[in-house]
Amino acid sequence: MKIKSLCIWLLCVISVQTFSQQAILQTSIPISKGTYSSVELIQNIQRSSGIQFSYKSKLLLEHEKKVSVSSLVLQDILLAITDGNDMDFVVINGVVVIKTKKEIQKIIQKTYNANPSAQIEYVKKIQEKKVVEPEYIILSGKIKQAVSGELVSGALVIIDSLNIQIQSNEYGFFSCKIPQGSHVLRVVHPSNYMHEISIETNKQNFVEIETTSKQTELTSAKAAVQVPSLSNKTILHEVKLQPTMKIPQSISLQDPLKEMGKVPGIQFINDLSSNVLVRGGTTYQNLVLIDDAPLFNPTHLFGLYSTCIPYSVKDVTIYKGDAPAQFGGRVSSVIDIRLREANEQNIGGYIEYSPVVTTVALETPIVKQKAALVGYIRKSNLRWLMKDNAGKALYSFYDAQLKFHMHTAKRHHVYYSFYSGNDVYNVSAQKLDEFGITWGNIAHAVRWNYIISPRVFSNLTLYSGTYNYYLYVPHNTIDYWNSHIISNGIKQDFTIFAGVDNTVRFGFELSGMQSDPGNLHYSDSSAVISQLYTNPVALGMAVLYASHELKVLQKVSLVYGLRVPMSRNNGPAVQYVFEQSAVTDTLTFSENQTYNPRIHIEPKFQLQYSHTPYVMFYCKGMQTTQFVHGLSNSETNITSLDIWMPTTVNLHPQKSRLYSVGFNYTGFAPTIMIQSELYYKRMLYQWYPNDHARMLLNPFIEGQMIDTRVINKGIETMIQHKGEKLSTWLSYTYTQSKRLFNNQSISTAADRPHDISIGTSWKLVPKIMLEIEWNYMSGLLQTIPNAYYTANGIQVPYYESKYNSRLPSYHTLDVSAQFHLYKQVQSPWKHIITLQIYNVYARKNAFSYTYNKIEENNEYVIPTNVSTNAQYISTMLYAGTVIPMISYAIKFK
Amino acid sequence: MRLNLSNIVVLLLIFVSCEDVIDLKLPPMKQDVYVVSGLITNELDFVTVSVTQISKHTGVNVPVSHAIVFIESESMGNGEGVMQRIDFVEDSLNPGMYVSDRRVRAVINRNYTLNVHIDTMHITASAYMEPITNMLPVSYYKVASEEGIFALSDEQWSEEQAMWKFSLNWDFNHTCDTCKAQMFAYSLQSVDVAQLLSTKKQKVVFPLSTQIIREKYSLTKEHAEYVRGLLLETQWNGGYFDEQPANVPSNFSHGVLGYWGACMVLRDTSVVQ
Repeated sequence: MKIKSLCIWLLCVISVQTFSQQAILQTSIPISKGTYSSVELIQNIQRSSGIQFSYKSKLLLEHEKKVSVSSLVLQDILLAITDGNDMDFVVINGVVVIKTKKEIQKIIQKTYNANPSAQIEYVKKIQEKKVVEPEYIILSGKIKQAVSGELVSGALVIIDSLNIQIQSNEYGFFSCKIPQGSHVLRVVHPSNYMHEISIETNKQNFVEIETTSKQTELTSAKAAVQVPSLSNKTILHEVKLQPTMKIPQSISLQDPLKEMGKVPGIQFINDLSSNVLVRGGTTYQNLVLIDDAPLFNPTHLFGLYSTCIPYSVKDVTIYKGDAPAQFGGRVSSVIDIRLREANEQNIGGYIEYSPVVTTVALETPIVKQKAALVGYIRKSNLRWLMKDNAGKALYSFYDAQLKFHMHTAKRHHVYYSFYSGNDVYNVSAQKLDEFGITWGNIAHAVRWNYIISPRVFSNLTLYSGTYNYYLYVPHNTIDYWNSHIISNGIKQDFTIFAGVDNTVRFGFELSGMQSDPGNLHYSDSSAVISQLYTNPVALGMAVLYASHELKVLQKVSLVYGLRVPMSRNNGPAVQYVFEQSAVTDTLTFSENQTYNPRIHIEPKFQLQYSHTPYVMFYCKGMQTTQFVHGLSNSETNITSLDIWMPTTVNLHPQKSRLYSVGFNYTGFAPTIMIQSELYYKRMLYQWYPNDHARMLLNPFIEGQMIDTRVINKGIETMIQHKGEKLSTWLSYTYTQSKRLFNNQSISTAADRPHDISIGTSWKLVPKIMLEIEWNYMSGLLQTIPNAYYTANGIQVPYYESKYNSRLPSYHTLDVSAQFHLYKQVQSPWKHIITLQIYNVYARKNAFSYTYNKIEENNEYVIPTNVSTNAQYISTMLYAGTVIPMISYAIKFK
Repeated sequence: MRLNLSNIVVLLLIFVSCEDVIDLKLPPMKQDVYVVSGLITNELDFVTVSVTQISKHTGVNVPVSHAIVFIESESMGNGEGVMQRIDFVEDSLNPGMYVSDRRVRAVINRNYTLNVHIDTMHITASAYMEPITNMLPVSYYKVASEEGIFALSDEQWSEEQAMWKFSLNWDFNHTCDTCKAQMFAYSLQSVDVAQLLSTKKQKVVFPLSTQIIREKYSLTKEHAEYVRGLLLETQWNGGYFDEQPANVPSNFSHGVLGYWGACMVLRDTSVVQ
């Protein structure tokens, strides 16, 4: 007993007691200085020095942390690893044992008792000093690109010594509470390069961190924030675990909306559509925001082409029905597109040509390092493909974008964004007694960021979005038919960074919406057919919201919030009341009269449990309400003839309740990310068209819609592996989507059980990148005839039930290669050539069946001559087979 | 990979013939369905009603014999052409076709109810006739690519909703096989996307001196709705902008398909000059 006491006493009073003659702890380890994860560090030491270790991986993983290695002496490294946690170490007979402090004490006693001559090296850490409470300050700042001055959202700011990780918000701002003193901040950019700065908080508590990157020079469109790329594997596992799926990043210029198809739970209807279906919803249930301004139709060419100019997009975030409280108004998803800011330092430009479109962009500083402007024009090149009788382009579209930003001092930042896009089809031929169509979006947003205090961030947004659709019908008196919707609003958002894991966000939004579901406009006013007049609808809304994100336990985080939208319709208005599609009453409201007030409560919660630094489990529940409805009876979903109508007396706001559970796993080198989520979504007031509903020129259009419920459920899984040169992903979604009405249950267009995407990107050499991707989806549901009968001499289909057949499965293999034709990243002129081959194995993916045609002169046509017995055939329509494509881009600065 | 896939798809859509013939297997039916159709006009003539049944076993439309068919008019009168009850007899040469036992004519703004008894099922449908305005001259045009060849204009203008039937005859020209054509056109007061962006139709062309017999039929609102449904499922179907499929509306009871209509008819004959 005396010997034991003596031993313990010796261990306690001697700060460093070495029992061996050859001190292993003083060995210099042949590794390079830098920052490592503790697990990785121990593995490196074992590998490089041959020193034997004894430890439990679980213990190490539980105490996993970043260790900055400045001294290569083993003792210093181990002290750094075990500093500030419950671990301790001892060297017994040449083996380094790492265990909990208690266990180490027991081992030392046991070893000494068993063999007093055993070789033991132990360092007693002096840590029982009186703890002096440090003085805390609020450190805040902004992260921006050094080259362009562009603010960086979603970047991680890491202070290893304090075990702090915070993320910059959508305006590049961050804030946290830290002790005063010197600190090293590591900033991990979403594109996965790192920047390190030292700060002295006595002197500064607001920092502007400028990051540099080669990646931004190469990849102009980043389809996702917070997605690590291929370049730096050491950073990969520093990506903050979040309960959202990320879009795997691709190597070349992408259409960001098209890229979303890689995320499980997001489906394209077919090859002809840029519109997406999210978790069983419709395309009208996705809120597309471009710098906070709404776009009602984010497509060109009847839905085939996205309105996003890839080069103009900074990042895209998609919320699959689980948007935080500051977003709302659509029951399926929020697609938040942020546009690039102009370079504050230099004039630059970009030109891209492909056989389909030409893009030109120009950016210039207005006041260096203070204000800058960037403009984009994209125009279709389809005249050589599609001409009308007059030799003019049968179809054309354009996009124009402008973004201006300016900042004063450190606290104010002002942005103005403008978007205009338009499609024109056959309009020049309209005078030749043919129909013509044009449609377009216009969006504006002015945003003012104000850092009220280091802890409080404010953003004020004024926005406007207009969608117009014109149909020119050849007729004696009719000039055109127009449908439009206008949405204007103001939104004030506050974020309070109360602590590292304690953020409060709240605000309000006031908005107004006005819709004309479609009316004829005559050159001769006396020809107005009042019977066909469709009444405009106006809706005013006020929304209050708040959310709170906090860490409730060491491993448990909670985000809870509430969104309260209040709406009412504004006069003058005429509203019809329907019963079984028949008008039973007419309500007239005068100007300044309001009616149909509604208030809704949208609770939201998200609970996260971080089992280890690598594994997180979560569950979510939220309710969302949608106050504007897209009315359509399209079968193929490739039309853009959209009718938008706000909530009315007849059209109750749509509701969605989403519940999900999931987990994220992020492995350490080589990095593997596994994400999986199981969800159940119940949607109420899903307005569905009656059979052969009349959507155009119908004053009683609301009576054409019936109230249905939609139940969606599914499981979404994604596995990603990211290497330095090779990156691979696999995503799988199982979806089931049913519509319930009138005691019937029918599947919806989104009911495509299996959706698989497998892809790999390979950086062959630094300037040549290859990518290959295979996509598979269960076939789209179709309603096909059960039999035929004859009327007026033609074959008429009879359907016993809806969606009684499924098209063959969809799958394609696509490959691409991108070549960067310049010597250095810093070169002022850069040339990029992209080669693509779509559908390599020439699969004919059907998107529709037909059964009413005959073959005549090697063409499939609808028969019109009923005097002969037509030999009807069935056909399938598909979007072509294998096709190569080349595009060339030049960038200068 | 969706690398600027939109560019590719645009090219696909334009360059590639994206349509193949397939052998479409129709899903089996769970129950038999009757189809009845007939039309009464203001012209004094025999009225024909067709009664068929789509068999759940074969999916084939077969004639229904031994049905009891008659028309009732809400306003009774005496004399030829004013109906009380008109009975129909089955055409012995054409099973399933029932012909009125006398010539009849409909008058405007009067209801005509067709009754069909099949076993224990009593099927009814009512129709009334609306007046119709005179016709403008028939509209056709010269096919630019061929000398002396003509085609009917797609649109036939009418202030009211109407159905047009064209019977063309150029049998003086012995170079063709059939030398005859019959076509329908419609004037409706509705606009549909599938109509505006419908797929390619068979083009019927005819030479100079072709005889065109044109008939214009009045359509009630309900009849026009039936015609619109019929077009959505036939002539306006099969393209990229189809509307959601549904059965063509019917005015018969018991879920029976088809339509019973009453139309005023105007007729003219012209020769292509």
